Amino acid sequence: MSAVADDGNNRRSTVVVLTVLGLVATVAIADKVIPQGVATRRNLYATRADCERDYAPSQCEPDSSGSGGGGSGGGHYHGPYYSASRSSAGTDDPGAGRSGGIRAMSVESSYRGGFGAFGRAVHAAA
Amino acid sequence: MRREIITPRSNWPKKVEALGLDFHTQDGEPYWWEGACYAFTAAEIDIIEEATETLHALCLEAVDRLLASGDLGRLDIPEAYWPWIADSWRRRDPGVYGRFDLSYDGSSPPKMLEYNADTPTALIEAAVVQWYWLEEVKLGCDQFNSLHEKLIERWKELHRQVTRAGRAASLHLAGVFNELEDRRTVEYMQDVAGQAGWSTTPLDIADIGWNGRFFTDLAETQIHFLFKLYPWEWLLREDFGPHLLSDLVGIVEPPWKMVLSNKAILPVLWEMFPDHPNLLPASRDRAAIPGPCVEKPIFGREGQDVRLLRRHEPPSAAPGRIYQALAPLPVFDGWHTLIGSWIVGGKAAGMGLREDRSPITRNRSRFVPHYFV
Repeated sequence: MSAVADDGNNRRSTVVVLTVLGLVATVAIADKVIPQGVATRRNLYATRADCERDYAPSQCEPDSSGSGGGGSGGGHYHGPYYSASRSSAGTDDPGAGRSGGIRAMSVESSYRGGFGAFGRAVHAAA
Repeated sequence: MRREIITPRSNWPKKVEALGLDFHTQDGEPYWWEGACYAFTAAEIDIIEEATETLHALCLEAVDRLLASGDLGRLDIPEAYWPWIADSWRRRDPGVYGRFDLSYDGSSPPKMLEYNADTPTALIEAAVVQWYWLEEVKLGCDQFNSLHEKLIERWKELHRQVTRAGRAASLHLAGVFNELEDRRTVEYMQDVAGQAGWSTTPLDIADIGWNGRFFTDLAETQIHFLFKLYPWEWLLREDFGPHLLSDLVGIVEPPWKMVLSNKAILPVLWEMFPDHPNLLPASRDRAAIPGPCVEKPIFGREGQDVRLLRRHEPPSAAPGRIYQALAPLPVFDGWHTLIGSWIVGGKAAGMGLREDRSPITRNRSRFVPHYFV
């Protein structure tokens, strides 16, 4: 969507072009919202070989976060995220790895739902 | 300044929906209303523009003085965050936008009612929808509205700053996505940031993760820069709030903006700049504003819990309130009209008008387009 005003001396925008907004049917915002307090984990490995003993090669990625050693510098690798709770894990959850994470240097935990509680409460009350 | 009654375009709902305004009608009542419009003179627009930039300058001065004094307790901001907010100001962490709510009747100087400096909305209708309306309905007239191009230019400037520092211009944009207006506003900001060259990823605010070292998105990618349509006072009080102190994320609007989005700044401004023609007397103490006044919660939004108090009428017992001398909104055809005047990158960038049968503007108050000649 775009339009162009015909006079460059105006105090309105000369051109208003939209590339995302208005394409309501195609906007790629995920509708799924992770429930509050959901914890996930992933294993960090010293080498790619260690990671591939637990997961498929495609599931092992260089760690680029810096503090973990860095993909190019420290040579560490991490596996995929998996649910911290076995009871709530879906069928596609990769799990803790074939060794159960024993080969991992460390296990990183990630949590979601730490923001948003006020917003949902306020909107629900409105 | 006058209100004109006009005939809406026959297929206006489809037209505004095509621009992303699919919340034009709420609970059967029009939110976008083009059965009327407001007409201004160029001189009146000059006055609004000048007042907006003057007020913005006063606000920055107030932030500077308040942070220098070290007293953010006046704003009910948790003390643990004070040094972090001060650091954000010392670095001049960049902001993008804000919106002053003004009472202006076309004759007296515009009066600042509040500054929505953190999470202003009514953006799409001001920047885009009324622009297209003007092109079709008031051809040959002008509009105080360069919001769209100023937003793109501002995001370009931030893009230049980031890339000059050797960092990837990757921006996450978050809000409460089950609220349609918030979602569309985030999408619009995604649109203009994308046009400015940023790589953009939207996500619901609740989907932001913390892995013990940094914030992540749903793909577990680190979030380096975040636009959030979510008030600072909520973020600070939620579970992940303390992780913000790690300063691993560049956030728009930046932390120092929470000084201005807080209505307790209104008494501070009046103390610092007494009798300024664009300010109103304000205090935390009702007795200091003896005439008719407006009681506002310092963290309230969109007219929530705002009360008009008659002369000598006592305040409510609720905590966290400020009192501001009444500057009644002008009334046209029975509608009380508020001007929302936008700042982008420190410059006045346009305006949007809201009208309501009540003297208090609320989130459902109609948005009405404007033009000037």
